[in-house]
Amino acid sequence: MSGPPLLEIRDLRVVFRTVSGDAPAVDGLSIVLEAGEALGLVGESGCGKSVTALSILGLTPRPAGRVVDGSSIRLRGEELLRAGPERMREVRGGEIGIVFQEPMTSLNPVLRVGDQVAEAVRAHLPVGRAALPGRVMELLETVGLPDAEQIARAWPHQLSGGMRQRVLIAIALAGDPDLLIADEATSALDVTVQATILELLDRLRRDRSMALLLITHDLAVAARMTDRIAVMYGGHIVEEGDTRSVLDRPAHPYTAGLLNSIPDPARRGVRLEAIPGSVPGIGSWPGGCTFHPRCSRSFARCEAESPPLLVGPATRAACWLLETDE
Amino acid sequence: MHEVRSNGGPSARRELDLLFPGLSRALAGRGSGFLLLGAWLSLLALAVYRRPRIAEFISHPTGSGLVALASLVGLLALTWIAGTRAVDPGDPSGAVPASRLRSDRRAAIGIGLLVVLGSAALLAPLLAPFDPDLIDLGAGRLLAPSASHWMGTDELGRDLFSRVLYGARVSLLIGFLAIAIAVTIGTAVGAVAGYAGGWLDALLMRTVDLFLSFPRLVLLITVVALFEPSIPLIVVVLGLTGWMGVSRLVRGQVLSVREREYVQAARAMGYGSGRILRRHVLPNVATPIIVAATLGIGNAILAEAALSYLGLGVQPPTASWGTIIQSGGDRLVDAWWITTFPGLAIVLTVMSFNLVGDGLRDALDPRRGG
Repeated sequence: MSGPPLLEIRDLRVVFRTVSGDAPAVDGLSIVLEAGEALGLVGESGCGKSVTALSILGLTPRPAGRVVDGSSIRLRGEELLRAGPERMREVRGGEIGIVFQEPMTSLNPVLRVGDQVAEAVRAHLPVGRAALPGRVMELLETVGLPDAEQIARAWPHQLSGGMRQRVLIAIALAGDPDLLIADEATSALDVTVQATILELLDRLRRDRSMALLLITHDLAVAARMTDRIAVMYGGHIVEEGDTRSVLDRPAHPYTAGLLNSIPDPARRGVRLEAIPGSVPGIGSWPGGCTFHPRCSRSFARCEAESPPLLVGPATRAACWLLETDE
Repeated sequence: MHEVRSNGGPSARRELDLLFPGLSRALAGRGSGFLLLGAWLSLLALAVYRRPRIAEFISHPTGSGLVALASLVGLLALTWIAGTRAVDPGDPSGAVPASRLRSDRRAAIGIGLLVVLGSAALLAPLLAPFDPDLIDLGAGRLLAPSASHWMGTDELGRDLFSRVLYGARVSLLIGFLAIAIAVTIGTAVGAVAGYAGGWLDALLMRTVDLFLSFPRLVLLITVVALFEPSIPLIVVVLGLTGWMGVSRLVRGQVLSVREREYVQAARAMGYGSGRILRRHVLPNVATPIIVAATLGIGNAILAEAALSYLGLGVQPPTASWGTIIQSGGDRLVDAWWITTFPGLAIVLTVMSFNLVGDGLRDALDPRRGG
């Protein structure tokens, strides 16, 4: 493939103003996403995943949050961090659609479902009034809602969580985006509903040859949905590679820890391993490798220096062990 | 979606509804049927009884006469439509606040009183037994309430019942218009301040503080004293001095609603600020605005009465409740009826608005189970 990638984030830094000075929430994050590709951005809560998603859309929480100079977010080569407000409104919903975590509260309670989908269509596509209802029905059917006409007339509170999430996906698709960001889109749903929504997202991505940025804390979800996985910790990527390699041959102790903490029926009776400690809050990230206080294999260099992404056996990982092992 | 069939009622009954709207519902034992039927028959009786006056309004059209005629036709049409409509099972989702409001006895009383008061004001030229400005300086002065003069007469021999009826038009009109202005300004200022934040918020809210730091009545008196008192002036002045509470209320609500997920989602869809404010934020703060407006009308009516009582409001001979009370002020002991009846009208009206406002607040509060 030639030309610039669909989305290219280079050295993204987002800081939040706190009483004790600027605290980083995203700290030198770089990812590349090609058109039609599915990338999983995986990490525990508090590692900067959602701030990254919002920053791509130019919606860094204000006034506390701020993207630091020197960061770069390019959409097909166009620098979004320098785009004007008008251009960013076209990008939001038009070129990049996003689905959030909370299906119960992400729909306006006083507008009928059909009107909310129609509003999204009209904001981004030159669809005339006559063609609008047809387009709305089409979208609702695309996301697998039976009896689209009835759903369009319903109020949000009359729908179940799964149905609402489908409606929100329909709204995100209304502007025919090239990239869909799913920010923990299934985390608030029952497991069975979660599975059907994931299937839907996977089908939509393939049918529309749309890129998918799947943000999740759940490696299992990322495993079944993505081509590549980027594992995030402490505001940047600690390991990246194609999905199979990351799952089978993780090089970073953090990725390995995440994998070990997934319950596995084959290891029934064996005590589940958890990563000791918890994600440090924003503003209290340690120096050196941000993971070293929780890492069982850390050594002197980890405390002193932050490792760059190094080429490992199957993946690329930000870990000094890769240099030591060789 | 669903074909509604009234269970079992013979179709003859439904046809009788065309002549006597509400009859089949009344026969089914529903209170609303009796009310509709009663309203229909009273309105028809009024039309028949006041035939000569109606003919006169048609041959010599005047503003107030035409309003009364149009209101009569409108009220008849409303009653007929409501009374002949098939009993509606109701949208179970949308009807929750409405049914809650109906089951709230205080609110029901308030709404009933307001409907009666409002209709009486609109129909005043047809209802009033006398010309409200007809002066009788002979034997007609200061008559106590009697069968011919239900509320007595004043110093100039004018019939008080007729004057209170006509005064209702002025007082209610001023109340509604003033609160409309106040709510419009207050909502605009509060919404912009709450949504924009930053220096604009600070500027607008300090302006509100500035306005609030004037005592309202003194401000009213000063402004009115600078100009010729007239109804439009009073409406504008009452509106311009009554919006600050609404704007503070709206700002607070907007501050909370703008952080809701659906507003964030709207932003992530690239909608403009104006659209988000109009379609996603304001409809979700409508409830407190409606409640504030309802409660505010009562206040505006009181303020109008106070101004008129001080001689700075509606000018004689136009009747408003405040001016009637003012005219009877020095006859409080020997002609108690001049001040008592318009005073009662004010008390009833303000109380009704407050009852409805409280009822609305309770009915629209989603935290109350339904």
